[in-house]
Amino acid sequence: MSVTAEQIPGGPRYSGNTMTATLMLAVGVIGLVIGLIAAWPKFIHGGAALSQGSDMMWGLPVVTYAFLALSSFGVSMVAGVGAVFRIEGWDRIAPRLFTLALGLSIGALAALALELGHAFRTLWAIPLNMQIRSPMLWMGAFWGAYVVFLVWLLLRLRQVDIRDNTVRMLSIAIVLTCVGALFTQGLVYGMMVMRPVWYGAATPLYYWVGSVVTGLGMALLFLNITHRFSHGGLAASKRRVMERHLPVIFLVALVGYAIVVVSRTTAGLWSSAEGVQIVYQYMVASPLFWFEILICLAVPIVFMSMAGLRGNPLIQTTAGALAIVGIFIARYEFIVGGQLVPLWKGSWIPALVEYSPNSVEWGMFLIGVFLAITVYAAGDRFFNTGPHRGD
Amino acid sequence: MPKWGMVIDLDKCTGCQACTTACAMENNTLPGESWQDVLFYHEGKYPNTSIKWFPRPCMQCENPSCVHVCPTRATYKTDDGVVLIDWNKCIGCKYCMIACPYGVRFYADERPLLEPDIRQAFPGSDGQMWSPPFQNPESDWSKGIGIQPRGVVSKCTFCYHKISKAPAGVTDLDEDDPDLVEYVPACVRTCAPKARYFGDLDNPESKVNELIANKRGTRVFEHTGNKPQVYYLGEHGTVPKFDPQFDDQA
Ligand code: SF4
Ligand code: SF4
Repeated sequence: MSVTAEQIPGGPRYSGNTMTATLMLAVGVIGLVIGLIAAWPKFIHGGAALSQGSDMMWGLPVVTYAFLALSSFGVSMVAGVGAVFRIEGWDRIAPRLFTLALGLSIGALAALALELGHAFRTLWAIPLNMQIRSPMLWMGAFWGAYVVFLVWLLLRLRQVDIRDNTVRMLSIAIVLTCVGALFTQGLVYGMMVMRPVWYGAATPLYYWVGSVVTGLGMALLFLNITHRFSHGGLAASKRRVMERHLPVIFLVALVGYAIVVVSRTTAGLWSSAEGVQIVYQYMVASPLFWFEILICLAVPIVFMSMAGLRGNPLIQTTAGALAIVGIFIARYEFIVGGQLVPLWKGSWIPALVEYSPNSVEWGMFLIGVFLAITVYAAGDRFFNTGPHRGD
Repeated sequence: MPKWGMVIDLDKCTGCQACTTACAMENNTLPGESWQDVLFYHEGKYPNTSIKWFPRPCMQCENPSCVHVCPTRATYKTDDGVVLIDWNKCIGCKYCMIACPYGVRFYADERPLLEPDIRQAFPGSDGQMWSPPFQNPESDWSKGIGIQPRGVVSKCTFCYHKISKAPAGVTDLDEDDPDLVEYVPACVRTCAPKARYFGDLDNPESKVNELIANKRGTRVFEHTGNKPQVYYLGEHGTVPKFDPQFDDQA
């Protein structure tokens, strides 16, 4: 049964501000152009323009793709809770979050396509050859289905309300496929016995916990920007979600993630598996790690623990942004860290593999990130129609 | 159908790198991209140090992790036990490079491993990354033989363009046999101290099986479950632990 705009519960609505969306769109497009300029040598010289190579196969572009994909899955899980369980107020933030999730997936796909040797070949070579033993095949299958369901849902939301039954079914499908994609992406790393920093059954769970934190951080960041750092014009139920539900759940997710990070780091530092301890010692000695723990993880936890502060839009935005940066650093440390120990090299490679991304790789990062922002802002600016207009 | 395998006697290897050079000439690999490398390790502390050589081709694993992870089946195992790459299917995701415990896969579409960049001296034609004047006429992209096109992964093929033409029923490809010498992999054929042997691992009568049995052949990194088809003989058939402090001690 479809629900019309007149039947939607929830009192007054946020009066949509196209100015914010237009500004975000401009920021997105400018960032995209800067990214394209920085990444241009990749289009001319191919892989030779990158800092990564045969010793560090998956550098910043893969980190970018993994981070954006996991963020997309996280945002969809947050939106899915509202859409599937029809929680009043939470369901009103879902359409915007689903748009963000699509943007993040498109950004991730762009970063991945730029990294692959033959991006278009994947379209036929993977489905026609079906290597079912490869976790990458399953990740691609889940991710592909997830994007199709997302697009379908967003198109449908232009005609019907979020409480429509088909939308609910699609939301369930989105949550299931994104959890599948999330776990299989964890398996891409977790199944690699020859890379002990990655190996283990807990890796997909680690990905899942991080993804929930990013999803909530992204939700708070983007929704508060869209609402211009004020909850004043929101319907009471939506305001309750923004000021009470989301920050408390964010706090729980942050604490859960902190426990996982502490246990992983402790296990890594005392591991006897060859190469693991060295990598963790190297990571812990880096200021980046302490920035991630003290600024990007501890500060949001403190902010969200304070009942008087956690409803404040500016505090939420800061906590969300910090957590997102922290998870990005964690993805970088995890993916690059897993390749730091050179695999069976002679004495002429006596130390850990050296890698620092160059400007071209940062350009690819910018393309992914700003493409996500552009899609989100364009959705808000041009496609904010139908029953959800003004949510 | 044979299951081709190699035996390398580390006690005989002198570290001369003739195999590396022969492989590079046979397969037109780029400088630094050694499908067949000879690693060396220092052991002990000054003044009681020793150096040991470790020739390292692709292990053509029985249970190859590179094949299992390849999402397009571009990497595959032939019936005669060799792992090959179909360059027409490879998408350049490099997952196989991540998954190979032996570090023997190469992605040529990257900064030159050694300068000067020979690709610029001989720019590629016919889709190849480079076209040297001395190119081996044998080329088959469906088997990863020849010079790579852009954006794919390459590796040692056990000189598949040679061994696949060997007469049926042969147990060992011995370079001392004039009838078989043309089918012997380049690294085996060129090894002056005869540290390498090549034959059928499925045939109990083969020389390679005799050597593995009599001289207690070992395989490296057994914990990964890859089961290499390259066996090592000699007292030091193990890989030393990775020791990143080495640089400071030197
Ligand atoms: S050594 Fe590496 S590339 Fe060769 S078959 Fe084994 S896993 Fe594959
Ligand atoms: S790089 Fe090519 S051969 Fe390697 S896993 Fe990817 S598609 Fe397969």
